[in-house]
Amino acid sequence: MTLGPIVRIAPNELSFSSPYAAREVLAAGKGFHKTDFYSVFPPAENPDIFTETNEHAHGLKKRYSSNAYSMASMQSLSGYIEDTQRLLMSKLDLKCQSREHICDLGDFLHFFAFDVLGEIAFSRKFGFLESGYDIENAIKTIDDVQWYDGIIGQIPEWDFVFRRNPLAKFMPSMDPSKTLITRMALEELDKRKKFGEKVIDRKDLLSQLMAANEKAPETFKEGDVFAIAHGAM
Amino acid sequence: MQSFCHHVLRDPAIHAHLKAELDHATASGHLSDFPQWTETQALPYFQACLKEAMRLRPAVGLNITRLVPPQGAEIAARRLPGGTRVAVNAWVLHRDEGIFGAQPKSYRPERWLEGDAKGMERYMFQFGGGSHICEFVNAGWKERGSSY
Repeated sequence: MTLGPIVRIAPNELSFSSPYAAREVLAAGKGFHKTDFYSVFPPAENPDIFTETNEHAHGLKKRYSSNAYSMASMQSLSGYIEDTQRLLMSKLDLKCQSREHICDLGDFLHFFAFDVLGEIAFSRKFGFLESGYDIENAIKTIDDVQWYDGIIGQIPEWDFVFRRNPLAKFMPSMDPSKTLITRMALEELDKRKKFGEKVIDRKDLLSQLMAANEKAPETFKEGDVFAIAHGAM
Repeated sequence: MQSFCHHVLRDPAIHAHLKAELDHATASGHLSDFPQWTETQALPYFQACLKEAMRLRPAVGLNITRLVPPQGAEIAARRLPGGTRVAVNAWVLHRDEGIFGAQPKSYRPERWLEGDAKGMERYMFQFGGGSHICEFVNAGWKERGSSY
């Protein structure tokens, strides 16, 4: 079926297929603000750069963290990314030598991407490549949450019926606080708060966000540090 | 990365073309064992394969939705009242024949070498756009540029 260039997909929502229209809508400074779609993405109590819908607050968070995301910062971490590449190649070599095993390249690319992100954000791998599987179903959990957020984001009020329902804490699968990635993020944050920046010898995402927080604790709060570093995953 | 591997590995002609470029760069000393960002920038067919992978399978498949400002706005020659939700989706936008050329649904890296690549890049939304453009754009390009 072929539809026209503008499709009404909800009572008050139009979908545009033209890339020109997209540029008009997404252009900076045109006043098109984010919708409440983003409200379902965790953490609700402290939005990160992606989920912040208040333009002013978004601008502040972005300003204080932009340095951490710069090309120069990425370049400075390239040794650790290469290290992860080496691990990927050695694991693939090993997997492909044995005829009994099926090696799913897609899975390993996923493990690689997460371990690279771990290095960039927290200076440690999550261990997916090393173990060769999705530890504690951490990646699958993220996929499931994305699936849920994508649908419920269209009708954000329903989030209070499902996930934000006070009864949800009795359902372990609905509790987002215990995933491997969240635990590791909290661990790193605690460790550095306790022992100072010195425990880390490089400028990863977390250390740069913590430095920004130290400089302007009133505007760029500690909650922002965790939310943004965690949100990066 | 998955999109790149999938598309390059399933088409022998594309795979051969890419391999020839990489072999040639390696033989002439322009590509290290661990390819550097600047080295991969000088591999036009490789870059075309990357862009084509992100064009056809942008990581975010969801709509990006924004609110029309209170005073209303004109989009695609239509006047819309304030508060209207307007949605765009990269999977749809990236298949626009007017911008990306013939057979927009096919994986054809050549389109980036034949066509107006700069113009096409302006209309790639795999990282969103404007003031909300994904902060990981540099990480993404760097990681992709050096990982193969």
